[in-house]
Amino acid sequence: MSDRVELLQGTLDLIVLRALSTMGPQHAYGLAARLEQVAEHPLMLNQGTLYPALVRLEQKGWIKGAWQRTESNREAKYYSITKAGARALEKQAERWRRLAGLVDKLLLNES
Amino acid sequence: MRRLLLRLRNTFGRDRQDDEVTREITAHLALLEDEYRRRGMTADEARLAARRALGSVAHAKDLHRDARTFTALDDLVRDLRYATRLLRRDSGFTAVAVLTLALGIGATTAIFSVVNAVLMRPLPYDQSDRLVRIAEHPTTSGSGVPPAPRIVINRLELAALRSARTLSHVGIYGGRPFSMTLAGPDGPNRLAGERVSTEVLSMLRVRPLLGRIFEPHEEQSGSDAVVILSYRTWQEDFAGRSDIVGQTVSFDGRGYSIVGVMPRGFEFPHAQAEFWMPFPPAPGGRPDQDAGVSIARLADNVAPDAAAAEVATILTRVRAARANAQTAARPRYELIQLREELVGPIRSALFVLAAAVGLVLLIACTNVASLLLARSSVREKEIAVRVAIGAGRGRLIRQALTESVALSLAGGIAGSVLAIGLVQLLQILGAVLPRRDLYTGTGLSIPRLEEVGVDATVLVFAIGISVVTGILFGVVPALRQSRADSAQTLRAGAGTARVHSVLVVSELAMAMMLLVGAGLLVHSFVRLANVDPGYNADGVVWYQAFLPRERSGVQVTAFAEDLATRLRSFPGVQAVGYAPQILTGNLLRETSLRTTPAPPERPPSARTDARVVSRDFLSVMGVRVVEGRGFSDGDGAGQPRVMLINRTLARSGQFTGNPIGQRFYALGDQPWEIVGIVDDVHQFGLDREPGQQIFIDFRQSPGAGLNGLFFALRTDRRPGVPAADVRRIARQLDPLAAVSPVATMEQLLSNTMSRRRLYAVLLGVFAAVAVALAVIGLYGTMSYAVAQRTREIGVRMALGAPRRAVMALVLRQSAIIATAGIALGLAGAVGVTRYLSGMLFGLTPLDPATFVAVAALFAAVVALASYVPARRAALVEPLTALRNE
Repeated sequence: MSDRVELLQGTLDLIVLRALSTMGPQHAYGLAARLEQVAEHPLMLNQGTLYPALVRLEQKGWIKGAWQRTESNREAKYYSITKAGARALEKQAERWRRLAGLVDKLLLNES
Repeated sequence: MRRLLLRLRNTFGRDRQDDEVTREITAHLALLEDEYRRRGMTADEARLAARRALGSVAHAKDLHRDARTFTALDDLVRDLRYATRLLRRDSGFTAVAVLTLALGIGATTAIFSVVNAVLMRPLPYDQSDRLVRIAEHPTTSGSGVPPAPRIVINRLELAALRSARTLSHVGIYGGRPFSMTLAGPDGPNRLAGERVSTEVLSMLRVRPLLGRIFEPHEEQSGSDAVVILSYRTWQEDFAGRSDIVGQTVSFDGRGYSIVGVMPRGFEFPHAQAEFWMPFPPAPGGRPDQDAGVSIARLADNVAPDAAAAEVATILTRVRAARANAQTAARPRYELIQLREELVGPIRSALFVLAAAVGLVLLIACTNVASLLLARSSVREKEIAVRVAIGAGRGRLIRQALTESVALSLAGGIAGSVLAIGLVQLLQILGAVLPRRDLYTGTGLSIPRLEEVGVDATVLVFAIGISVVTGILFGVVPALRQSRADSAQTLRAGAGTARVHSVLVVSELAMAMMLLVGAGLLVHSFVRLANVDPGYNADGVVWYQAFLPRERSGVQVTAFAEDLATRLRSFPGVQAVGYAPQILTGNLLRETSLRTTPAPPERPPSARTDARVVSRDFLSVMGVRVVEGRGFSDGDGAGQPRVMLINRTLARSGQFTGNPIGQRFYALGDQPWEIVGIVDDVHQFGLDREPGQQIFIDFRQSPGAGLNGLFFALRTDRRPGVPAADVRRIARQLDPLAAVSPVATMEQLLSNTMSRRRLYAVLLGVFAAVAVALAVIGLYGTMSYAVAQRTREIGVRMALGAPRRAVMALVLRQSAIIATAGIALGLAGAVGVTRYLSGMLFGLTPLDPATFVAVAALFAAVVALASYVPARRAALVEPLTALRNE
């Protein structure tokens, strides 16, 4: 566990929402691939952990899932961001920025 | 809130949701595989890589589910499903465990239903806890058991108490057997009733169904010809006529106006009361000798202590005003709650019964706990796997407890059914004759027994006790199971064996204690049943005949003699006697033997019971004359007055020299000559010492008005004489005679033992169940130990150990356990049997004979239970045993 990057509680939700809002509807695999891409170095999260986040978000009503066919004619559940989701994303992103800024500042001052 | 609902739905509608997740994960895997194949992997490689990337499918699903539902609730549902599946698969184990638990829970629930009805439920009156009796504790001279408090007050005291500010009502009622003949449409019908002062019905706060209750002026003689009927009499004798109020009916030949009908279920002061009349002062009676049973209601917001203090002040003043200065002895007054009076005498017995079922339940728990332990060693592998894949200790304990609670709930359901049966058995065992005027002493087995039932409260209790039980017996195995985290603990069977032994020892000890208690009760019951009652109850049947009040003494005597003669000619009837009361039963007349006609200034310390009987009555009842003679034809009216005395009176020290031939004043103003001494009759029950008695021939009896007579028929056939025949003959002799069958003498005798019999049977049954469970526990443990040691035994035998030695090996182990159990049980019994002392007869709580007999019996049963596994061990074939490894 120690060498893995632990995602801060809530950040995965933020990442997923952000990905869906910029890329449009995605299935879980697509999301995982996108995360891998962004993270630059090999995946920091087990792809299975995406599911709890997806369920959580769906329960909050921030995303919506629907079964569709992929280009390769496989069936997959496509998630898209809802209006409530978009609003939440804005709020969460703002909060994140503030928090990150605060933590950055603290870390700089201490060192 | 929406999430909450969603989660709740998800918890239960899991299958569909799971499908959805599986579908999604499968899709995810498929896409990953596609990707890997595109990168040039083979199909197999791609699939493996995809799985690695996603992690375990099951794990993903779990994560998914954890997010989706309440984990704890979800786990519970899952555990329950798992548990039921497991229990169904292991049906033999489940059956034994459920049966064991059903016995324990069923017995506990049945006793709880009694406790609930008797001790917890209030009497059926509004604010019945404010209803009290005024009790007077006589000042006792000397040691010994204090006499029962007097609950009777006279009219002077009643009048004084009516001014008490702490009592909202105070009244009296007859309290003695009271019955009258109703001239009903179907002929004369004898009904039991009660005379009540006006306040009584109003303080009970029961509204009449029809009409009204009594008014104060109706308590004066002359205006008291009013009656209130019970619901049953209204229905049965008057066909429920709606215009009943205002009608006039004839009771004992006098017209009474019906002013009201009480609602169904109004049973004051007992269930047999069919009518109520005012209770006016006896005409010409002295108010200080005209008394009744007291009942009062505390005024609102008055503490019982304050009321008791005021009552004591008032009564002391009344007493001081008329007593001579010499009687300085001041009695102590107390207010007793109406309900307390009813349940007080059996409170300790109920406590003993509750403790006994508690032990049975504990034994059942212990038994199932050791069954579970034995089974958990079979399930070691399963547990080890669960631990290996990461099940936490708490999770394992929870799972194990879910299983045991599921088991005990099944046991609880079966136990509730059992409890219903047990309660019915209890009601049959504890049933007493309905006519409470006919018996005394410890007759009442359990008050309000007919109200006992398995109701909602009891069922809630059963469920509660099941859950507690499940946790109780599940916790030891659960803790042990969950420790199965390393191969080492799995291997070490020694620890489990030790826990097993401790469980079995405690089971045996508890069963031993119960068996000692049951032994004491059964032993004292046998003693009681062997007491010579002083009469011969075989084949004696009682009838009761009432003549109208206006019949003269001569007419009554003639009727009685004629009826006796006619009945004697019936086939199967050997002899007939009659008397105003049955042989056993309450005092009707008290007297004392005196040398002067005047009654003594102070009542004598020992009561003498005066009984008027027909010439043949004593010989019909089989009462032996031990000295002198019995009544003869020459003792008729106008002849020299004679009396018989009983042995207790003859030995009372009141006589100088032989009492026979001496003359004394007793009843009336003429002296009576003692002509014979008869054997003692246990008239108040076999467990009470006989009192002093005198017998007088009916023909010489001075008091008239004995218009209700009991006829004793000694028959050689059990069915006796049909009641209809007796009624027909009696009506031929006097058309207004009311006749009712009473009971057989055997019923009356058995009635006096019913409470003790109930206790003995109940504790006996509990002890039998306890012993059976404990022995099964021992047997199971020993069999299990033998099975575990089969290989060791095989080696020993291969090395030349004789079969006898192998048997001894096993027997020694069970002997240690059994000895420890029996010793502990005996020690425990010595500590607790003193709580039984009130329920014993003729035994001390440490009766050595019972202790020894019970220990020997128990040891024999235990030896049998250990012999079978030992023998199985001895029959182990060394080769088979070794090959099996």
